[in-house]
Parts: sequence; C-alpha cells; structure tokens
Amino acid sequence: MDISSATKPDGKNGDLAESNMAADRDEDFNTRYGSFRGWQMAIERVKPIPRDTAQLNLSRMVLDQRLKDTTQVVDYMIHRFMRVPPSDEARQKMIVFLNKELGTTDISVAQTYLEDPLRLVLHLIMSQPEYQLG
Amino acid sequence: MKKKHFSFSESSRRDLLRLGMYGIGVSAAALPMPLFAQAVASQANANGKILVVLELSGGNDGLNTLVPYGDDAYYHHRPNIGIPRKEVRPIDDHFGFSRGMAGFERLYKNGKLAIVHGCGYENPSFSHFTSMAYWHTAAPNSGEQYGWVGRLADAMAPEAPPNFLVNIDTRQSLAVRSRRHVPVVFDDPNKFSQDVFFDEREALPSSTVSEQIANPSRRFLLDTAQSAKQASALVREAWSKYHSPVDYGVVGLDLPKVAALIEAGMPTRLYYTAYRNNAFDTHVFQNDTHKRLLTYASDAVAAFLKDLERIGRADDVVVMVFSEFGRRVPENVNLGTDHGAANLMFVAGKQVKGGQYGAVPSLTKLDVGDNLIYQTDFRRVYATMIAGWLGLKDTRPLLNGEFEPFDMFQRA
Repeated sequence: MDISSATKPDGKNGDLAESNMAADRDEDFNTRYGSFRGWQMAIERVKPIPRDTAQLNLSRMVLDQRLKDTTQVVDYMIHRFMRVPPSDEARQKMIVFLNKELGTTDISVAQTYLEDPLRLVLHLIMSQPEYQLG
Repeated sequence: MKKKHFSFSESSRRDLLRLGMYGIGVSAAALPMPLFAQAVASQANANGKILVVLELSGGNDGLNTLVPYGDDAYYHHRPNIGIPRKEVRPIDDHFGFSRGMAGFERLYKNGKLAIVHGCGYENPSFSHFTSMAYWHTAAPNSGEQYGWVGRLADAMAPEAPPNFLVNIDTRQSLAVRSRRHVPVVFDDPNKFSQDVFFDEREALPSSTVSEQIANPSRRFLLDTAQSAKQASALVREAWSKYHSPVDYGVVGLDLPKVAALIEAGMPTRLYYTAYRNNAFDTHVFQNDTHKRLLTYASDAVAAFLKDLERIGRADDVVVMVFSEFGRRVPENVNLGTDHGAANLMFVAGKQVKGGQYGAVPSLTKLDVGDNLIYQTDFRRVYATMIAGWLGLKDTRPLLNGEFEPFDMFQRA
C-alpha cells in the first residue's frame, strides 16, 4: 500500500479537504505522514520525568496533634491546608469518606494504616473550589 | 526612597479571605436586571442565532491571504514573498486567495463568504498582547474589564442561563470575560471532567451552590466549578455521539467540537475559539508555513459550514474570523513580514450575503511605518454581528460608540 492510501482519513465521505488532497498529491511530502512522524520523533526525544509521591507524612502530622477522631482530623486538615473553609456539606462528606476509608472514627486504632486515607482526604481538600483561595 | 509595601500577616490575610475582601468580582446573582437589559434580552432571545468567533492568533498576513495580484505595488513591496498571480485562486480581476484556500474560494463563489477590507483602529498597537486585548474588549486605546463577547452575553441573557457562552481553548480568553455569565471553557472534551479516584467520587461536593455566600471570590469559584461540572457531562456526551463524515482537513481547529455541541442541542449562542499559539506570527520564511496555516483554517471553516448543513443548522450560524493585526506591507529581510496594522476580516455562513465590504486600503499610501491605513473600524464588523445577525439593535453600550452595521445577512 502506498503512503497516501495508508494515511487517508477514515470515515470521511464526499470531498476531501484541500489539506488532505494536497497530502495525496504531494508524494514527496505527505502532510499526514509528516505530522505523524514529527509527533513520533518528538515522543522519542521526550525525557521521562521521574515522578514520586509527595514527601509528606500526614500520619505523623495528625498524630503529633493528638487528634482523637475523624471529625477532628478533617477539621485540622481543613484549617491546615485551606484559607477559606469549604461548605458544611463538603466537610461532612469528607468526614464520612474518612470514616469509610478507615473503618472507624477512632484514630488511635487506625494509626498503622492512616497515611493513604489521609492522602485521599488531602486530595479531596485540594479538589474543593475554595482551595484556590490559598 | 524606600517604597512602601502593603503586607498582610498570615492571620490578617486569612481574615480578609474569610470576609471576601480579597479577590475580584461582584456576585452576579446580587445584581438587579435593569429594564433596558430585559428589553435587549428579549430581542436577542427571539432571534435564536448563533455566533462563532474564530481568532487567528499571531497577526495574519492579510495581503498574502487575499492577494491583490492586480496591483503592481504589491509585487513592488514584496519582490520575494509576493505570491505570483498564476498561483492565486482568483475571485475577481484584482484579488485571489492563497493557493491552499480552496475552502474559502468555494464559500466566496457560492456567496457564503463576506470579506471586509481594511479593518483596524486609530493608533494601532504592534504588540500582540495589547492589540489582541483591544480586539478582545472592543476598546482600542482604552480599557474594559470585560470582553466584548462576554458583554454581549450579558446583554443577550442578563439572567445568565448556563452554557450560553462557550470558549474552546486551553485557557479562558479575555473576549468572553463576562460580568454575569460563567463561560464554559474546555479544550479536550474527553478530558473535561474532574479527575478523582473512584472512591472519592461520592465525597466531592455537590454542584449546587445553595447557601448564601458573602465572599465574592468564593462565590465566583463555586459558580465556575458548578458551571464546569454541569457543562462537562453535556460536552462529553455531545462529543462521544458526534461522528461526522465531513473532512475538516489536517487541522480541524476546534470547529468540529462546536458542531458537536450545536448538533447536541446545547443552548449556547456564543462560541469563541482560536487558531492558537500565535500561529500566524510569520516573521521568517513565511510562505510555506503561511500557506499551510491558511489551508488548514480555510478547510476547517468550509467543512464546519458543510457540517452545519448536514445537521440542519446552517441557517442559524455564522462564523466571524479575525486576527489582532495584519502584517507590514513590505517584506522583511528574513523573507517574512513584521507586525502591521489594518487587516481583513471574514464572515462566513449560509445567511451571509457574500461579497466584499469596506474600502480597500491603498498599497501606495501607507502610514509612516509602511503599514496599511485602516478604512473600517473593526467594531463596525462587531456591530454587524450584534445587530445584523444576533438582532440587538442598540450596539452603542456594548461597543462604546456608534458603528453602522453592514447589510451583510439575507434575513434580518
């Protein structure tokens, strides 16, 4: 199969656009293939950026504050990370979410697996519109 | 002398944020709707037309777009980059489109494309940023807080219904900044959603802003979040259902997305989109690049109109095409062109009375910087869209002046 046929756009009926017809006319430089090849070369040159999880210890932060239950934790995190608190509905939802993730409201019994649920709560905090008022 | 700086301590800044004194805007909901606004709105709502604005960012070279091949002065100014008359697509014995603009040529010859010559303004700015801001706000050499499309939306629908104003881009344009409306702004419809883990979905706040919110910044953010949340589902659904047999070319711009939303019945009346990234800023070796850019833009606009025919909405939509300035008339030493002044505007649509409008600027009487002298204030074309197409009779409050609309449309 030649390059023009191989790169013809799918599912287009009737007249082709001028740029696609030009791609077919000009076998020396097929625009569609050129675009694809340019994209491919760009991808080949991309240097991956190593990504790690944020170097935070939210469990330590919470335990150091001697917080007893999930309500206190959510309120502490809202105070710690937000300038303008979210609506009461949003706060309640975060408390329910943390209760569900931990399987308890008691922080002392959840100490060993606290970090991931707290990170999710922090993500929820950062997903609140009010978080932008920081 | 030491400058005096205001600084807020953490606690006072926090207090200000809580009280809502830090930020912008006035709550739209708190503003009463004046009677004249109601009257204007009823005119516009009865009309039901849709306006799509396409910005060619970077300063499109109008002289190599619609080539004045019948004027020797053109070839005198551009001995190397002037497009030979045998390479243009002639539309009359003076002008011809750039070679790749088969789409525009077809639209023009079918009477669906209006060309407005010599558009610009007094004391033109040669800065992309400044000139674009003038075009965005319709306020040359002055200032406006809101964009002209945003102000238009306010006038057409002061009650600010959702999804009235859509801006397809990676960031919101100044043109759509509105006092009352929250424009729907998105780029990729498939990514227009809040990215959360599965477990978190139930824990996100609901999209309704029910409580009284005194803090205007917070109100603005909640309104924006609400608008995005409500619109995103519609946009994603419209895009997933959209399958067009029409070929938009190698670069469809964002016009297929507009067609998808129109086909899906979005209540949007004003769309704003752009050929992005200063693409038309052709300072160096411009001819091949510029020809391709024009081919892509022309393909996309022509295909969009064809797509509108397919979905039965061609009578309801026009596309207005502009750029922040034209290019200097003489070519530069790099076989490109530098920032100029007056330029062409285009209006395309089934209801457009095709042809050429406005006086053609002279290629022999240039300004001191070798630029075309504008003949038509660009706001006259805006007035044509506002009054002639969208049906708002009084354009003065929107454009800060009296601009007589062109008689450009088949039906009032």
